[in-house]
Amino acid sequence: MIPFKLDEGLPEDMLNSPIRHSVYIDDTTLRDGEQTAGVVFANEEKIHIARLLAMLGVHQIEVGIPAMGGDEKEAIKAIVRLELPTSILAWNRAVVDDVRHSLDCGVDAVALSISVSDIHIQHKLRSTRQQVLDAVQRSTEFAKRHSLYVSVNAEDASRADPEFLLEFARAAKEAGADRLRYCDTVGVLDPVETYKRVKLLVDEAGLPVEMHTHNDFGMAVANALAGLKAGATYVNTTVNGLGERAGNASLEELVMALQYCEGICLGFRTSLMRELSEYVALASGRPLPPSKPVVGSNLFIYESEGRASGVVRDPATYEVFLPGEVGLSRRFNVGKYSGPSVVAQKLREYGFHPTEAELRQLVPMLRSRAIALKRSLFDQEVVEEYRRLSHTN
Amino acid sequence: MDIHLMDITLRDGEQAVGVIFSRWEKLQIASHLAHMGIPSLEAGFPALGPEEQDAVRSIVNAHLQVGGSQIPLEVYAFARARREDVRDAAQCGVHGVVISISTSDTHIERKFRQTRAWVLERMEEAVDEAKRHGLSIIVSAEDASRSDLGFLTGYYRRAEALGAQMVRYCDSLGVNDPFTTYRHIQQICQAVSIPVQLHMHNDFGMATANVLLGLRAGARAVAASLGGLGERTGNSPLEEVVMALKHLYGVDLGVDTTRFREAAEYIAKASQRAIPVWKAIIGSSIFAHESGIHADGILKHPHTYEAFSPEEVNLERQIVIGKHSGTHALIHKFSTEFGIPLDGETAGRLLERVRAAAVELKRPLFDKELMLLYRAVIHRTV
Repeated sequence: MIPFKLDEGLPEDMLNSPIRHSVYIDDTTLRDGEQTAGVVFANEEKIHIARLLAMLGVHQIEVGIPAMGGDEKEAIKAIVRLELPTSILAWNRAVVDDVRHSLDCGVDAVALSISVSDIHIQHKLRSTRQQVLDAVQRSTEFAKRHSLYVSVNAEDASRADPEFLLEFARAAKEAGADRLRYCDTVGVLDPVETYKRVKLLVDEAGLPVEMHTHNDFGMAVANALAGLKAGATYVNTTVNGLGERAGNASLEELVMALQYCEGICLGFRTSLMRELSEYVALASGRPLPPSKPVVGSNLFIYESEGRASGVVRDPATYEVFLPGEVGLSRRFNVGKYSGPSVVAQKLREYGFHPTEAELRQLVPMLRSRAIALKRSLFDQEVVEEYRRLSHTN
Repeated sequence: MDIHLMDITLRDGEQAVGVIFSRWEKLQIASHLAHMGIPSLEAGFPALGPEEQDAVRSIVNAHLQVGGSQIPLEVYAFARARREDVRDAAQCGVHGVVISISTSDTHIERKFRQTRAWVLERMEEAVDEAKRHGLSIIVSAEDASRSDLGFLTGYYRRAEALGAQMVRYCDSLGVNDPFTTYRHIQQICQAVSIPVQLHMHNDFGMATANVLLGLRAGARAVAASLGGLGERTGNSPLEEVVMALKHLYGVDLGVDTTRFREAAEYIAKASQRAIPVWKAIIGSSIFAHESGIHADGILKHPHTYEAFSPEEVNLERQIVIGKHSGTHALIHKFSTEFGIPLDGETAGRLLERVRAAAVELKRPLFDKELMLLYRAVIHRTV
């Protein structure tokens, strides 16, 4: 399976594969996100995050693991009581007792998870393929008898024998499962390999497929998209990409990539994204990098002349979407890479209209200043330098 | 397979808002990169002025060698497609120059207020100037991904005919999905015979995937930055590209991956942009396992939840005890670290206390806290 061939030809259906079906987002910030080493949400934080996710527009919220008992169960019950306009899903091992805990909480959907790769079956579960099939059928049948929506999670699917994965999917379908979650648990696929595997599953298994991708090699979002192109209909995301190790497919990146790279608009209230990301960053104790795709604080700050000179003439030169769409705003900053466009723009903001000759003098002075200070300049520093210059002239 | 790697931390990386490296820091970063085996780098943008020229010159004069070899590091400078920019670069003594101009109609019409013919002319002049100075030449197309593919391939063909050694494809706004990248690069590789270099931005989180699909389509060079530092969301992180090539495609570029973390930490300090603890390949927490299921799997067999070993990138595996821990991790921790054997029943009762405490404290537990809880559990038993 691994290594993949770097120089094989790719089929036309893969290269031209627009997404033609509806796409549903099942966000797992509250489960896989919280499972991240060192991350714990307070119950009231879980409730607030669920509210924000519903306001944003996600279709399903994976709220936690009822079998953990105690506080976790209380938080899940409280979220169910909010009666949010989304499906509420609880995570379970593929074990009947776990599902009983989920029933206690009143959720409408369950994920039933079990590993399907031989490496997991042998070394972690110390079990057999047949026992895996039995477990998933038993737990699915039990959940269906209680009218729950069932997502069967094929953990470590990307490293599983594809034949066994199909057998697993068929067994789950026979037991009444509503969809299958394809987990690239250790994040070892690229978009091409994701597409191939998911296409086979969608074509052969006859069950709706959900993508659950990890970011170990930085490809979680691209792999999730590739799965959608191959016919998957659900994506499991987390806010800020929070999740085990290097994290999961990030909700905000996926939603915006769907819209701006694939032309699929989910109709979400994207202007809430920055607020949601900041909230989760604080609650998880994992600060948002300023360069974070979609919601990072630096994305719409213009400092280098190349970009700024385009944007002052027309934002379309460097902006694929407007800052307001994700709750950010546009700003100009004078630094080492700034040139006349940025400086002029900055001075205009303070009511000054420098001449070209003044800018030619001013730019190198400001650049040297920034280099000496090893930082961008504050607006007041730029204005003072300009004042000094216009006095001497 | 021969894939040419270039690091652009010192130019595109430094262009990130608020980031400025001192001359000394630039030299240190270049040295880190050369030592780990990166064969070439973009050292700066000499047209910015004397300070930048000094910094680039000091890297050239350091005569750095790649990895443990005698091969000299190739130092490139960035230049807009202008004769004077190329001259500034040449005066720094660099090995080569990256000549850049936008090729998309959006940029040509709305940023330059010019024509395609003007763009070609500018590129031709700059290449001519670079040839006069005997520089190795990479002709870059900014905003290539939004350019008309016919014009773009014509631009690259012209560059090849004039003597460029390589052409650069920039997904400047990071708008490509990987399959789009594949289609573009496939066509470009059919049009030119010199190597195509990929420069992908991360606006939708797909930079690395775009690089890999570009390589699948026939590109043979990558311009990336360690840690991913760059404009806005940054570039494809060099460490992700190197490790994906090694582990997913079996292509080892000979980079010393154990040096990633140290070099990235240096860049993080110099740029004041912390490495997120979850950063793929180099984040300090990517080998930390807390959840019962994962920790249990890891303790039985690390490959159950690790794509590669922590030693390969000089990190350490950690088992964290917190809300999501299970009894197996507790038993393991108590026996290996404290020398206390826990029976299943005690572990179960301790786990309840651990979970309640972790939720209340909103964090995993320290060892001393674990011991306190353990004592409380034991005393109730007695």
